[in-house]
Amino acid sequence: MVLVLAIGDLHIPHRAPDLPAKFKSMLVPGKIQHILCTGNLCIKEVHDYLKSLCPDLHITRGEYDEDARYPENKTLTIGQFKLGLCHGHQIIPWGDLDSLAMLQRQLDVDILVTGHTHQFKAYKHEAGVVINPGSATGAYSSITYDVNPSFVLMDIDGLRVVVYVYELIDGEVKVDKIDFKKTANTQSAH
Amino acid sequence: MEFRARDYEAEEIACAVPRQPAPDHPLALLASPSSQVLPDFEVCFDDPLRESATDASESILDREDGCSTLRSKLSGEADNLLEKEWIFLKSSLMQKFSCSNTITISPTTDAIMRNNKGYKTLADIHMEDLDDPESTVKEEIKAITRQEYVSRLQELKSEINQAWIAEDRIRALKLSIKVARLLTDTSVCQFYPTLFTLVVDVMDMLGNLVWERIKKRTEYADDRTPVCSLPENFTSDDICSEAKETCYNWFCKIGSIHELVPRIYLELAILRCWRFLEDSFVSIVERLVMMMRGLADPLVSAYCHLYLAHCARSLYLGDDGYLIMSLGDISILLRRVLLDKETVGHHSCKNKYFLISLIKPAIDWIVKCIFTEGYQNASNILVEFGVGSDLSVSTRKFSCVSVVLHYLLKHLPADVISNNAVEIIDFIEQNKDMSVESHLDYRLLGHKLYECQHSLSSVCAVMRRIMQVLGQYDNLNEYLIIADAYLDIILLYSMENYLGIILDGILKRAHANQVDQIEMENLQSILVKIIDHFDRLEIVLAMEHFTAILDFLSGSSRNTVYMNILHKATRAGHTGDPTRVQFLFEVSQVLHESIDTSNMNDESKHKADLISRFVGMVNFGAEWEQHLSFLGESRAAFGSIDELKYVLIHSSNNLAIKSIRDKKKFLGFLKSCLAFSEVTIPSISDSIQRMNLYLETAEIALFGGLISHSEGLVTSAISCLECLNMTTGSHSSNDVDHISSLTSKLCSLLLMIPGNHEEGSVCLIRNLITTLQGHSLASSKIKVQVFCAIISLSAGLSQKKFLYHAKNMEVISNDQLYFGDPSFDEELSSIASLVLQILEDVIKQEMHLVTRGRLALDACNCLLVSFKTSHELSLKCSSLIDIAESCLHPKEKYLRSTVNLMDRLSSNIGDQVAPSLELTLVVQR
Amino acid sequence: MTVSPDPPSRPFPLFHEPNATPMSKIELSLSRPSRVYRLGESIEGKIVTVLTSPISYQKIVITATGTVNLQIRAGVTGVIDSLYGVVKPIRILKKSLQVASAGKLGPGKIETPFSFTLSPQENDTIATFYETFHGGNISIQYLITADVMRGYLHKSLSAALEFIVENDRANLITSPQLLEFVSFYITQDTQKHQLLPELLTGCFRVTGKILTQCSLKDPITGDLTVEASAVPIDSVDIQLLRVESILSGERFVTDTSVIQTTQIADGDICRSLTLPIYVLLPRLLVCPTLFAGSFSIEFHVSITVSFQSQLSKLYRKSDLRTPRPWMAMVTIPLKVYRT
Repeated sequence: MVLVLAIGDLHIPHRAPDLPAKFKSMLVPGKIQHILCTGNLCIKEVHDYLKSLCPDLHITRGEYDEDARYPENKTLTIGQFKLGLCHGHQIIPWGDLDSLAMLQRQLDVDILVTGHTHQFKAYKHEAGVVINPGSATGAYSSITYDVNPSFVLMDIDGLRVVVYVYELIDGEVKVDKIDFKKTANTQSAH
Repeated sequence: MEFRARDYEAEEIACAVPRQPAPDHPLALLASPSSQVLPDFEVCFDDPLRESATDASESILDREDGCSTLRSKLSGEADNLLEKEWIFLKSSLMQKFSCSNTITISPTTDAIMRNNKGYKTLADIHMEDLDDPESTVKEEIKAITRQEYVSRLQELKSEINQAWIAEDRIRALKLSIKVARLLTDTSVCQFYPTLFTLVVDVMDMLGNLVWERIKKRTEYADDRTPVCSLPENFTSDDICSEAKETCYNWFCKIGSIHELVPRIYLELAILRCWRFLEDSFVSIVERLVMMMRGLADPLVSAYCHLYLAHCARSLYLGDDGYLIMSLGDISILLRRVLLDKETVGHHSCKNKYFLISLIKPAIDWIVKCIFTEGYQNASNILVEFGVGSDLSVSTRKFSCVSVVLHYLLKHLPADVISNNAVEIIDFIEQNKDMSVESHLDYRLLGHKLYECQHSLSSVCAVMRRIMQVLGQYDNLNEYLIIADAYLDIILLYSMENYLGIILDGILKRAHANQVDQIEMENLQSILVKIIDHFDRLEIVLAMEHFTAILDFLSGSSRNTVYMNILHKATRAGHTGDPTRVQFLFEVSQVLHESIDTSNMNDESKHKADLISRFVGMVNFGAEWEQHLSFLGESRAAFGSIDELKYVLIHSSNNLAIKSIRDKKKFLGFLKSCLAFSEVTIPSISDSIQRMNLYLETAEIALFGGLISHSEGLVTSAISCLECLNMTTGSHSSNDVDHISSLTSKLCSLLLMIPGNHEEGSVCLIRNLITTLQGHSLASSKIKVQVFCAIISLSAGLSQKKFLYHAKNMEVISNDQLYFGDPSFDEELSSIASLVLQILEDVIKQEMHLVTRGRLALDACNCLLVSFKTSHELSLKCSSLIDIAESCLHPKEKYLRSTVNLMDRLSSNIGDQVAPSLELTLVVQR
Repeated sequence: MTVSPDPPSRPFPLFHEPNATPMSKIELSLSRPSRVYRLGESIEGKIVTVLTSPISYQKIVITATGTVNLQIRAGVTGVIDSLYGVVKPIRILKKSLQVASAGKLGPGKIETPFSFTLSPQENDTIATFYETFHGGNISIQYLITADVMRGYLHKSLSAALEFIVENDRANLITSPQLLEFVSFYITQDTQKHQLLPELLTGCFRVTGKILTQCSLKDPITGDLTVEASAVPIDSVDIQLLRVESILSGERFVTDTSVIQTTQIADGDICRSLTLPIYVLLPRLLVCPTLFAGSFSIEFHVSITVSFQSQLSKLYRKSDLRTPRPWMAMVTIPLKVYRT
């Protein structure tokens, strides 16, 4: 069982002072094995905070990130899964499934994690799974300023992924889960 | 070609995966308090030194059988550590006391002169010769340079080595004696430490040669056949009589050296050879310490004791009495130096401080040896030196000089010190002399006390005493040094009353005279600690005298303290208290003035960063107007910092969003915010950042329904693109990626901005295309990405219902504006075909094969997704695939997946690009 | 006498006789590398010949000799030159042994073993064996000589080797059970020679104790304390003196020589701080104190305190025997014995 935290679009401190306290108390060092951060942290302190949660931290660059060294996109393999990471402001139109699928083909990944729209999304299509963890701070996005803070925790176990969605709605953390299985069909897709 | 029609809502429904509430999730376990909070008492400190100390003292108790284990243990870690430190000590001695270039040499140092009278044959060498060389030559003062001296010694070293190799051991010994004799001369005392390290190198070399030779005599027979192999912890019983005889001969030979200094040094050099003869060495080492009493010169004596401490370790004595004797004897000599008005040896009393500074490393090392070996119950040492004993009764063995006490404090384990803290304070008070200033002892004591944990009551007792002592210091600097050392403890135990006393004390001592540089640095340390300790800056600033003391600072110390203040302030999160903001603003102004914009070094960057952070942290809550005017002030005050402007824009945009969310009469304020941003952005020097911020502001304007603002801002963003020099190589690859991704973002934004009736429905897109075409030298990668983006955008714009719309209801988006308008569709098609043409040219012009292949695939994917399947599309895509196939490996996955997509789409005309899995299954059935 | 610090035992001159044939070599070797033997012990060894061509011989003889050579160096004691060399060497051992009767030595390396007991000749009057000693005027030496006699026509092949004789401790004066220290003190009043005026006015007092009986194996030990001295001290040295006396005609001629000087204090050392005296006896230069009828060997220890003085710089530092105005000294006899 491998726990992968997908988080992004924090926009600290420009659009939000900090992570919601309820999220912070849940995110403690030790249990998470990998962090995928879609970007827009935006300052180094946030990077350091995430690093303190888990040293294996992967970040792609959002348009407001101070650190210009983050790549535009990134791929990594965890267990049986190949994962891709991209912020998502480059997708035209933002959040478009076809365009995301295009990127997914380009990166050749099973699970694509993107952000930018600040809305949690999870799609399953022929090329695999697309996940948007939303904005962990509920910052306004290019499209909307009504945003619920959210992040995603993926529990990768063999060919199975359970995606937990943590969403802060009216001051309460709501946790949902989605079950994915990697099938022979999806495997043959690449 | 026709754009592919999309039904975003249907797709969403088809692909979205249902969410179920998850009562149990991985982070729920983590959140339970029991697993994450470790109780305090479980925290244990793993102090390797302390551990070995107790181990060693245990094995002392049963030394009879524990001796060998002790040896092996010590020859392990502690030994290696000391060995490394010894090398470090030697090099630091060489560097620390480098001296003037010329060294006057007296006749005793004849070994250095090159007028050696040829080599003597074995038969010529008589006892007298060994005893006393031509040391009676007339007293000429000769001067040679330091370099010459050093190189001559190195020559001598290699001569000795060569003589040894040539089996001329007499000569090797004779030369070594000459080298050792150099240490009798302290006329150039600042050179002495260097000389010591050079000579000791030679001694160590000779010692090793003799050791190896005698060892070989035991391990090999005369005909060089191996007889046995000596174990690491051999005893003298393992040594054959021939080897013993040889060994004893060496000691006899060295014993016949007339002069004391070379005789001691040579015996020390081969000291560990006593292991071949004896099994108990304590008396030998003690005898050597006693012999050193014959060295009247304190410098010679101290370094000789230093070498003894080094050499004696090889005997694994299991006893550090000799080191304590050494310290005692050095103390006696130092006491004499300190008391005597006349000169001692070559050292005039003016030089006393310097002399003591030369001797300090030796004392430091000897004390270090005592505690590294860890043989003795460390608190006994204090008793030996009289700490804690009634001083009226002189029961203590040694008169302790404060410099020795200083190093004892430095090396004593912290727990021993803290257990005897009050006694030590008494002792320091009663043993003040000029060798070390007592405030340095107090400082050391303070640092040691801070190292270990105490009970509150014992800390209180010590601190009460220290505060008494502190009160007696009238000198500001000494006061600051001591206060600084105990501040950590005061803060740790929240002794706020002492903190008040100290601040008061500083103020009293500082007001009359100007604070000098050193005092300022100490003051800085104190203030930084205080600032660092408290969670909230408010508490610090509210402290009595704190701000008054702050005013004593100037220059870099002030900057450092101010930076800490800003750091603390920005760490605490948002602040909205006007007086606090005003204070921090002034602090920032001081820091800002100290930034040298022509040379942005790390410190300047850090300052700029802190100021920007502070400005970003200010939050007046609902007082938006006040906040905006603060941003204006900040812009005026810190205009030279580019980074700050980013913060200003983000802050003003954030304010705008707040006002929009609030929905009441926001328009006027929103316009002020936009105006602020529009004025500020052009002064940013970095075009990429400028473009980025124009886009963010455009989004804000759109949220507010200010279409023309938004349009103007996007136009400005495009013009930034124009300003960019996109020639290959002029930007880092990160920047290039950033530019193209920002341009893509711009395209996605354009989906929301309604067309302009006067200038045409898609003028911004055309504007963008023109701008990009203007960059003839831009890399093909950027061009392909951006032109693909424009195609995607056109496809998006062609839909009956867009994927997203502007949040503001007053903004009528193009899907409604041009619904069913054929001229809009034509416009889009013409843009698409124009871009398509450019795209093909760009790809063909790309020289790099792999890049060309991948770009062709990017374009192909874009086309397949954007356009309805048709013969024309197939032709275009096929030609792109052909390009890709000619450039890439046929098994390249991206190529294969693109080909698959194309095949699938052409076989299912009109089907979705990314059908849901379920749908695909249905079709297959 | 040259002593290398390193060889396992005392090096002795090894005499190579001029060879009879250019390509032949003869050597002696003893079973003990140290070559130290005591009375009554068996000396075992071998004659090693390396020859290029075979030779025939009449016999091979081993001879052990012991001699006391007494000579008085000219001028040392003010004795007139005519005395020089008049004292005849005293033969204390002569022993011959035929190892082989007529035969032939083949070419190559051949080892011929021998063995005899170190004992006085049956009819010898000399009851005591003196220990090997090489002094300035007196030398006691033992040699083994090997001769390959080849008749009158050929020169003998010969080799000689010194061996060391040490006395069995049982034969010696019984070693003292307790270390015997003698206390000494040096003040301006104990000095017989002229002292510097500042020394006389300033006063000084150096005290200590030193061993008066000392085993050859052990160092001379003791201690020394400068209790007071107004004039700064320059150096404190311990000199080991050897006193050789030879009966020449009616009287003893005595020669004292310094065999070792050991500095124990360099500079103006702290007052009232006790320094150790630790002097290793130089091997070969010292033997047990010996009183024979016609000669004697004795040792003295001299403790010399030199004071800092402008005058002293004009003189050789190492000469501590001559009483100078800036020096104070005390001389104490030392009995050396073997344990």
